[in-house]
Amino acid sequence: MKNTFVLTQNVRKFIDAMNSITGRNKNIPGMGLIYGEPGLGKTRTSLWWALANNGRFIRIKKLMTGRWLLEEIITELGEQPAYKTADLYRQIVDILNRNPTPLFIDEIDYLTDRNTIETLRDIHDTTANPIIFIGMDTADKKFARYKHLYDRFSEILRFTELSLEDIQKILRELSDYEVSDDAIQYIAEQKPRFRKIISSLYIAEQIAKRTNLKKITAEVLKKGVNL
Amino acid sequence: MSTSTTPKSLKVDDKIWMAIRKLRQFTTNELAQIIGDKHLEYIISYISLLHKTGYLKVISKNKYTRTYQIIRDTGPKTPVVYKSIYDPNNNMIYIKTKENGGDNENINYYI
Repeated sequence: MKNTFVLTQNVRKFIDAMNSITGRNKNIPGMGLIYGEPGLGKTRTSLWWALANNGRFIRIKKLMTGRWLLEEIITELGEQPAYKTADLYRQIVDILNRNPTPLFIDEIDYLTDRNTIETLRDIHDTTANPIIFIGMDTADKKFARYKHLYDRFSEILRFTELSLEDIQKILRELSDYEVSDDAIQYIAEQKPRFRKIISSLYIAEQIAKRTNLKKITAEVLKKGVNL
Repeated sequence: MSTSTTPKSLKVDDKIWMAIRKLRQFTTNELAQIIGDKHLEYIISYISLLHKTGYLKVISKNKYTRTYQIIRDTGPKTPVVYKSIYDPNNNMIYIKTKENGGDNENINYYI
């Protein structure tokens, strides 16, 4: 299997959204919301983008307080957190003003404290630094309740299930073998998640290798792949 | 308050460490997909050293691939490779242990 990052429709929309956020006029808010069901590639895609564009991740924990969040952001930005909460806030503003760094706030659904959520908005308003929330399928409804925050989302992107075109692209770009149309159709019928396609392709390639096949067909998939 | 200029741009080691901490469970091929296939060889050697020094454990393996899990996430600063591993998060040096295929007893150094 080839080690290529496949540009599915979700990925292409994500790139467009990030280009809009990072390339925007600074008078336009630069917060984003990426949401969708698990397994659709939100984490992989944002990680891939962040590694190429010097972004940083902060993972929200269930018990996280405002102070804990501020400390976590500073640590992820590579500095030692200050002692006082007011200094923590100033420290983040100072770092982000010196070095604008797209911040991805992952598992945002765990964040329930209004003050903590508003603190992230404050950081964005003070620094104009891009801040992107990543959440589950109901995240947009949840944040619609916070009007001041929701208005800052200049990009809201829902990751959707993979289309037939996506599945075809993934299989053809990653496989070392030719993949037949009926194999693509067979996988598409199962409405699989990205991870499942990769593991199915991996098993099918092993079968093809062992049995000296040149092409992965639906028959090969049915033999070894339990979708 | 520190006045150092952070964050610095990411080197390959930084990218691997950041990806590991984010994904938690991964294969070297998955890392290569995200970081770039041209770095696959380096990824394999860095992951091998992290495994031998006790940062990672293998949670499943077959003839062709191993799935790793991070078990020592010390923080965002990337552990530095120098025969052993220097970890700036806790100022520890971790050496390869016999248990993981190295030459030494399971002794780590605090500096």
